[in-house]
Amino acid sequence: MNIKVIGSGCENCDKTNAVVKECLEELGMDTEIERVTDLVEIVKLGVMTAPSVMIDGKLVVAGQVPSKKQMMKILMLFAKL
Amino acid sequence: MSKIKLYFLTGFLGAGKTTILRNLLENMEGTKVGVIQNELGKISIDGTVLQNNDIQMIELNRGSIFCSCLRLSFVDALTQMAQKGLEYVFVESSGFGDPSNAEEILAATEVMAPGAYDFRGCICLVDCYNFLDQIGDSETIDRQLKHCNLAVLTKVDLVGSEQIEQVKDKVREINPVCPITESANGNIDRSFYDMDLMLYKWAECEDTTNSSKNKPKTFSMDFTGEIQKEKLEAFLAKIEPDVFRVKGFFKVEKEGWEKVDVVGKKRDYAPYEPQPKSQLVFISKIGIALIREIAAAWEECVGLPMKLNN
Repeated sequence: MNIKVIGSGCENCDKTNAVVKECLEELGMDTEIERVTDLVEIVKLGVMTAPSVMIDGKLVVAGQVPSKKQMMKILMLFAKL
Repeated sequence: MSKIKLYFLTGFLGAGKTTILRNLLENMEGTKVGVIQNELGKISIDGTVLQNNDIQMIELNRGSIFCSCLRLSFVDALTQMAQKGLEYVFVESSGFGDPSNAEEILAATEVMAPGAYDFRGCICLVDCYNFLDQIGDSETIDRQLKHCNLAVLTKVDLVGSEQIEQVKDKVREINPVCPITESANGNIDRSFYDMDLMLYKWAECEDTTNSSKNKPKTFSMDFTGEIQKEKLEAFLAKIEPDVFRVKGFFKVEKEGWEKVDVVGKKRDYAPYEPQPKSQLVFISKIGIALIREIAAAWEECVGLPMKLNN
C-alpha cells in the first residue's frame, strides 16, 4: 500500500501525518508514509487543497485533518481488514 | 492566444499597494484585467476599496499567499484566472508577504495552466515616509526588496529629497540591481510595462519566511453609530505604538463616512461611500495583547459599545 500525506509543511499537515501514523501502528501495519511537501509535486498529483491523504493513487482525505476514527475506517477498507 | 501578463505587487504594510493598483487600473478600461488580492486578516478592507472596478477579482485572506497555508490556494486562484481570457493579472500580496518562493508558485502554476502566463516581474513598493523607521521591524521588508525586479518609492511627495536619497541608498544596499522609480500622490509611472523587468533579478528562489506561526495577529472592530473625529483620532493615537497598521472605514459625526488609514505615525482620512457599519482592522505588533489595549483605549476615548473580533 502506498500512502501519501500531502501538504507543503503546515501545522495541519503534521497533524494529519500523526493521525495516519497512529492508525497504522494501531492496525499493526508497517507501511511507510510518504510525505509530499514540494508544491510542484503536489499539483502534479492533482491535489489543490492541503492537508490531503492519497492511498494507492486515490484521494481519500482532501483539505482537512482526518479524525482517527475516519482514518482507521479508510485504512481498514484499503487493507481489506 | 497571447499569454497573460502577470505582475506581483509587494511592499510592507501601508506602502500603498492598493492605491497604486487602483491607479494602474484607472486607465485600463476595455482591457481584461484580473486581480488576486491577499489580506492577512479575515475580512478584506481593500477588497471593498477595489470592488467598484470592472475587474475579475479573487480574494485570498487569513494569511500570506506565499505561506504553506495559502500557496496551494494561490496556485488555484492563478489557475482559475488563466481560464478567463484576461490580458493582465495583478497580484497584490499582503504587507507581510515574503515572495522569496515566487518561482515555486509560478512553477506549480505552469503545471496547472501550461503556457498561460508571462511573468513580468515583482514590483516592490517602498514607503518613503515610513521606510527608515520600519526597516528594522521585520525581515519581510528585506526579502520583499531582495526578490523584486523593480522598486517604486511611494509617497515621495511627503518627504524631502534628502530622505528620498537615504531610502534609495538603503534599497541599493539590499538589492543592487533592480531599477528604482518614484511615485508621488499615488501615481505610478507606467513605463515599466515596456521594460523587461526579469533582467533585473538579484536573489535566487529560497524558502519564504512566511509561516502560520509568525503571522502577525489581526483583529477587527465593528461599530454601529457615529463618533466625533477628535475621539476617533484620540483612540487611534493611543493604540498607534502597538500596531503595524489600522485600516477600515468609519462614520464620523458631521463628516459622514471616512476611509481610515494608519501607518506608523501617519493617519489618513478620505471620504468614503456609506457602509452598513463602521469597521476597522488592526494588525498587531504585540500579538494578542492588543485586544486589551484596544478595549482600554476605546473605553477611555469613546466609551460606546463596539464589538472586537479576532
